[in-house]
Amino acid sequence: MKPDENDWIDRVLKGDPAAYENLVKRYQARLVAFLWNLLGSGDDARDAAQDIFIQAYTRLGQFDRSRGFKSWLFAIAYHFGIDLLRRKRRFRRFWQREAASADPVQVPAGPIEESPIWQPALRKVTPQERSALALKYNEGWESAEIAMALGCTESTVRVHLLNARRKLKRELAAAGFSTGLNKPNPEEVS
Amino acid sequence: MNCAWFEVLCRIPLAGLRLRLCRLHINSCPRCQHESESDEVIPPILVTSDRLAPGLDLWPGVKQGIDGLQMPAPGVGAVLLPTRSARRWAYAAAGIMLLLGAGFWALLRDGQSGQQPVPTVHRPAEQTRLCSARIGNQPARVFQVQSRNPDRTIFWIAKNDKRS
Repeated sequence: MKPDENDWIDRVLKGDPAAYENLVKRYQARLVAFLWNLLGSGDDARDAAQDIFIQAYTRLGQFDRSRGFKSWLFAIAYHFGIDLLRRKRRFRRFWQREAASADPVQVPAGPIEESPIWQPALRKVTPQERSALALKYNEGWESAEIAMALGCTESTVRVHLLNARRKLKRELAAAGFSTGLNKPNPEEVS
Repeated sequence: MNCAWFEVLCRIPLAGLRLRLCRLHINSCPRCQHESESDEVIPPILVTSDRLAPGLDLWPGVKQGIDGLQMPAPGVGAVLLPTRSARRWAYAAAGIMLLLGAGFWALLRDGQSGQQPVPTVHRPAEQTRLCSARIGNQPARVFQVQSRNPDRTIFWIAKNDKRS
């Protein structure tokens, strides 16, 4: 963890909430990008990021410094995002059921459809796989760090990454894009 | 070349089994391991922080949210978020405990229903009382055992073991 982050956390714990602004400003863009990839909507990502910063503030007293603030914050964000997607799915299912038995109702759009930036290929990738991809390629994390944030084992992270890469490759190739996911040379592997 | 085994495993319908087998395979297959950890850049379909609007500022909203909150108190150690697998284990443990409890209760009930209630007999205490006993001219310990037969009283007489 960066030394200035330690100071900011100490100041917050001593009763100076303004010091928290530094932490928010440092991680807000990366957190919103991560949540955008996970949730598929920019608006949802911004709202969720705000809630996550508030949640992290209330739990700051329990934060384990050996783990690193970034890793801890993204772990909270991942669990928050997965819960949010689950709630949205339940909500959507409820409205679909209601719509089947009543007058036509406007079914709230899913998170993926809301985002113009979202590529159809990513619809095929599960939220867990999207999170692993975002942490690996946007944040440059190692499998062990991703596993800690996602609350799973390293080999599960590898499965998520491999699955996601394969799905993206297949979908993008079908859509006529050059994937850039070159096949590994088996000779290099050994 | 893609590893054909992984493709086959990915088609297993049961999610838990699929993940377990994929994990086992990936741990033993260097080709899949290499592919999963590859640093090859994926197409720019992920949202990155530099794609966000430059005016992004969450602090006013966060400040408003934390203004009314109590200051976070320093805790002892870290409280980890319960992981999915931990939750699964907790549910499984709760289920097992419930089954054991139900089984124990059923056994207890069966045992009780098979037994005849022991009639309570009111007899003078002198009739069944053994004040003292001796074994080999030494005072012995006397235990009175409740018999199912109300007309019978069992006494267990043991050597008085001085070691205890």
